[in-house]
Amino acid sequence: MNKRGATSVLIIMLMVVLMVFGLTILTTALSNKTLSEKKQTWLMDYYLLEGKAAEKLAEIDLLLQRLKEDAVTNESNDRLTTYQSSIENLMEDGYISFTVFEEGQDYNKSIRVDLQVILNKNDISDLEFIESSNYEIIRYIQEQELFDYEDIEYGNPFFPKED
Amino acid sequence: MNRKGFTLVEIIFSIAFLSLVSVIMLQLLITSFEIENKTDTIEIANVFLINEIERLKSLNLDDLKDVDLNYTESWEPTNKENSHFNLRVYLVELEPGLYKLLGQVIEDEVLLNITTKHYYHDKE
Repeated sequence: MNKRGATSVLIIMLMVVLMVFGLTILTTALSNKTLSEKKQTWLMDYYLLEGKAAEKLAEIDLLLQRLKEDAVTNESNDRLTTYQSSIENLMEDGYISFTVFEEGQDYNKSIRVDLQVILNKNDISDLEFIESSNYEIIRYIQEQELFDYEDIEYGNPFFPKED
Repeated sequence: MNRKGFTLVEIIFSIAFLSLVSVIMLQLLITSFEIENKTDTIEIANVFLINEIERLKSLNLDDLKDVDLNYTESWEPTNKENSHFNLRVYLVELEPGLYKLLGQVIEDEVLLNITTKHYYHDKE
């Protein structure tokens, strides 16, 4: 058998292997960088959304504070009854709930907050009534749109379509 | 044709070609390592900044103050002179109890920027 050129063939094969190895490493590094950037964008969007929820909480706290002050100055009923009747239209199933939305780049996020209004008994002073906490956060849930498998040609791999 | 020395020429040529490809390969490796290091730095900076922001959110109004921390290259706390990374969180009061938190991590330039708001109501 003529072995001329065997060295060249071996070297070329080695070169191909080295190039594939190098390109694989570069591709992996670039993928990690992309993933890190996506995570960073998600976090920035999430904290902006939390900021919106904080603004809403401040608004509700101010409103409840004003209603408390009005209840104290109202002379027709006891302050607790006045306060309860003024917050009735704000409540849903016994809680004050709100949801803030943020349109992210990919999947829309939202934060849902449920608050329980703190109702103090009448045996404390007016000042203590006004200065006490107005609410307690019962639920604080971040939600996001689910990834839509319908866009993929073969559908959801976890729940195959029944034909 | 005199074919003596043909295999030697072949080997010399192959080694030269292999050296050229090795240079390209090494450059790819160096670029990959630089990208990985940068990604790692940003991930660690993220963790430190978020920890600091969440810590500030857990405090009472009376304990709030701006944060200015310095870290070495291996993320050990240090003073300003030996600082490689600078972590800052500024607090801006928007309304009574409602604060804007501006967090940044700076190396030679701004690596990370996170802005959020937090409402500090009664902690009793």
